Amino acid sequence: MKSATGAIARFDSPDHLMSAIRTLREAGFSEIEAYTPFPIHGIDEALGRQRSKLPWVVLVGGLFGAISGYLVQWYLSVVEYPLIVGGKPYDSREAWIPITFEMTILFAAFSAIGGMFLFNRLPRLHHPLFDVPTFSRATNDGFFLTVRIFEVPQDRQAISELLASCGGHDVTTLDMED
Amino acid sequence: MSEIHVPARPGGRVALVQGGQTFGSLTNLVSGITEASTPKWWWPAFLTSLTVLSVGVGMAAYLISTGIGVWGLNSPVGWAFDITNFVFWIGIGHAGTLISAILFLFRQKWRTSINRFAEAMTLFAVACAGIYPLIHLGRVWLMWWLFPAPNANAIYPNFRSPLMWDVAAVSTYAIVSLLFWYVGLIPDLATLRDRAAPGLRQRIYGFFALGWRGAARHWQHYEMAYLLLAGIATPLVISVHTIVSMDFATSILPGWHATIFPPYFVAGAVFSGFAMVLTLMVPSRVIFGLENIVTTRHLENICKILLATGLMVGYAYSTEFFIAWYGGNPYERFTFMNRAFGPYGWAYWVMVTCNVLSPQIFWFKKARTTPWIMFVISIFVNIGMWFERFVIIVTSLHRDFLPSSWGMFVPTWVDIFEFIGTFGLFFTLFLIFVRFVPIVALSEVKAVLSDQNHEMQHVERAAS
Amino acid sequence: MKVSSNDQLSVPRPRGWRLLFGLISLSLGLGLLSMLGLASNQRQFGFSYLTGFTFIASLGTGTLFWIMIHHITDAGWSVVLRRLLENYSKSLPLLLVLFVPIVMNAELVYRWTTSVEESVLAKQSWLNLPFFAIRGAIYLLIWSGLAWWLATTSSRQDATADPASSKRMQGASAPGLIVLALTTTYASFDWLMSLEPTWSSTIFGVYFWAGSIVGSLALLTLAILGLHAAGWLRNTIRTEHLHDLGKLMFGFTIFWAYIAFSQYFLIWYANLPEETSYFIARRTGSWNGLSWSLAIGQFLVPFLLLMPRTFKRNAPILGFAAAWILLFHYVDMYWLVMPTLHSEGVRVHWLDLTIPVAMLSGTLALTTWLSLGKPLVPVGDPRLSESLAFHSS
Repeated sequence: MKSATGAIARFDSPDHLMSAIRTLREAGFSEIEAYTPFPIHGIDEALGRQRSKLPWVVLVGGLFGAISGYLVQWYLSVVEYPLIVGGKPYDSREAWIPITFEMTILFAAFSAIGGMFLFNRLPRLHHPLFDVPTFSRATNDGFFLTVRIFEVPQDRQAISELLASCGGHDVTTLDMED
Repeated sequence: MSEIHVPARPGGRVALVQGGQTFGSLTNLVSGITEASTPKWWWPAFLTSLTVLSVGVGMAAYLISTGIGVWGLNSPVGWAFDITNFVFWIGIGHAGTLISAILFLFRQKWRTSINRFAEAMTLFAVACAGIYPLIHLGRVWLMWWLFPAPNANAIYPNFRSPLMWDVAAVSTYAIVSLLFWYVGLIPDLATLRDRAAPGLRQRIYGFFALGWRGAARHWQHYEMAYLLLAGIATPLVISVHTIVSMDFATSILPGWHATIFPPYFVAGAVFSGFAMVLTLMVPSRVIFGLENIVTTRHLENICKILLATGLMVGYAYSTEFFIAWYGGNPYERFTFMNRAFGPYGWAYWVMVTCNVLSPQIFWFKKARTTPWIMFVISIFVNIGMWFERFVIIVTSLHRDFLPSSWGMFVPTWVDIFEFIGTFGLFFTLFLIFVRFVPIVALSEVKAVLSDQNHEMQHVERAAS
Repeated sequence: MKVSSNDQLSVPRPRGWRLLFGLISLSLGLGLLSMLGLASNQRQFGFSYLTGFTFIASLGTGTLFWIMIHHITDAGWSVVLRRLLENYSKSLPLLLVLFVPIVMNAELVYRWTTSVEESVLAKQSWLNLPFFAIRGAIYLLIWSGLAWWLATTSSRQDATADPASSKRMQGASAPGLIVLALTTTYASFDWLMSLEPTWSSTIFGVYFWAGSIVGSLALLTLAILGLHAAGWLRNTIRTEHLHDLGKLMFGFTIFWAYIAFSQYFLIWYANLPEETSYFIARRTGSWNGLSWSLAIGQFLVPFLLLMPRTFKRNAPILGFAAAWILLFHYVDMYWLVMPTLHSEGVRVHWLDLTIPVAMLSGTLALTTWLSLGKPLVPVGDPRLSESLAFHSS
């Protein structure tokens, strides 16, 4: 885990935050992250992020649930211990559908949540950002932005001024990890 | 409560967040409920619920130790209060998932103020429902027979049985609802963590917030997960009551075997669930001072949904009656005539009055915007939907094919107190919830407020 | 936001007349050709005609359903789509004329008209020809009246831009939907379920309705893509709206499958002879193949085609999916009607092609004629700006 120095600033509204992101991107910064109390429309595009790949994870999870759910019922009812119940054939295919469906849903849900945690590197109870005194407002009414400094040859003073000129408050530097 | 002047938004819509709220004031409003010292009414309410719950636990203990003969079940009515109450509770749960998933997919933003509340209701209702299949087993220690494991004779469960599908559906539903609810809670738990002074409270909320810090990257995957979960939960909630309906509809019993049962039960479940949302929300919004977030518009929308779903169950009642005649099967015809005019006819008319007639008052805007009227109607609907299940279950069973096998069902005191006991469980869990968990989805309401501010800016710019 | 001034909002008359002429010739040509079929095989004609008629009727009622559901939910996003639906729903009165041959051929099509079986005679108070004809006329008059009132009120709003009109239409849609639900249910019982007079299913009305709402969405999507191809409404109905139509088609395809499965599954499971006859007929011989093709064509293929987001936002794929759904909605009607005539197996007759195409082009011709020179978007709707600015996610 290598440490690098970054800067953090708080903005008053989503609009200020978005315009600051645009300014920083134009100034050549690429490693920008925003911290907001609620999701902001269009921020992923502004930060140059791709759409989440989570749907693929869920697709795989759902398929796993469907196939395994069906196979368990089929195997136990047709191969392991075949029994005629209710005048229905050993392989009552229609009757396997409800449980197959439920298992699809169950595993799709597991993979949606598991995948989200994995992509977000959560749970992680402590993070250096929590040491920034004002950061507690990121879950209240503050719209924060962090940027990695070393990318362009600018000193700390200049980046602080740039952030302040975009409307940033409480500008401080911090140690950013990778 | 004074009327607040609400400027009209484009399309003449009423604002969802009222009273000049800001992001910070919303945080204070919602977090404040859990941070303030315990309100005076809370302990008496909690202890009462706990007492009622312990009555239910006592009844269950008596039943398990003695046998299910302590209930009023007997041939021909082998299923009565237990399954009625099971379907009643699981149906109530459905409104929470509907609000959190289906209304989300349809971009109904008004859902954000009530979804947390309704989802919690779902979980507690499913917990109440889950008790019945377990204790009805009689030998509850053999419940593992319901899972795909061989019993002592190496026989596996019969996967053709609707009761097995029920196990899969209800447990999937409970798990997915819990996960969905918890995922929705994470950002708000982080808010409570960040507001707490260092100490135990901060540590507990910090633990459950899992280190959430609201990064754009987090939100991106989080929103996608939420969308996908909504897409998953929508067919799930429909499947749950579909499978519950199949407990009856796969049989050949007149009055139970009807192809319309799956959608009819789903509509009924949504109907009963929204009634319960209203029953709980009307007093809660006043107690917790949430009138600016849970506005009259929210309540009016719920009333409209009640009216619509009430008409859907009315459609199902009438179609069943028509087809009972049209189908020409004499047993079918008898069952339906007996339902309406037989010994349990009074229950049938209670059902029709409560479920079909009473919501008709919501055609009037006055009724849709007057909290006490909706509260009364919501109680009627709760009663009516309980009777719907009772009517379907008991009237179909009590007149067997041979008149020599006819009988009546009368609940015993154990039946009745067990049912009352489940309300104790429901309200105990509910009171814990309102005390310790943010009861409004704070981050979602803030997003709605943000959109609203944007729209207002557009309107002002256009006007100037 | 205003409607983009560089967008073609109404069909220019010269091209509109050409389109109208084409549709009328197609309709009349195929209609006359079908008359030959009537002369040569009246019974086949009666069944093919019923298939085509229920197909067209379902598209009309489905369209009417969407108009009213948009009103009642006060939907903002869909305002730009509503006029196209309204214009199509104005063709519903044509069904009153098209219903006459159903009554005239009823004795060849409906067994209950002549049956002397006791179980059928027991239903004579409902299943008799005069009452059947009167009921049919009532359903069609109600649909036509609702459609015309809603469409003309909406057109008048173009000039007045009166928000009160929206409120009135919203108010009428609530009872309108109730009436529509009951009439479509009983229409499906009368026209389709009574083909097998000893069989009944309580979900049948819901099944018919589920198919009709998917079919009408597919027709709307195709109409929009057709207008786009001709250069109209391109900046008004955008990918965002098509994306949402795709989502709705996806969702209601699943809904149709859910209803279809519920009906089949409960009858299969209970295994009562008076009910299973319906599915035994449809799972015997080549009908079994058709049943499978319906499950795959009306559910699996649209399900896979409409699942990925990129596919819903891609006009050619979305158009293919819509055309596919519309085709299989017709197959669905065929599957409901034809096993009564051809119990020996699937026997596709050329009338099964000419009649629905003649009817569909007839209703589309009427729609075109009624919309010539008028805006294709409800320009007076107070929610229009919301719809124009709409972003699907």
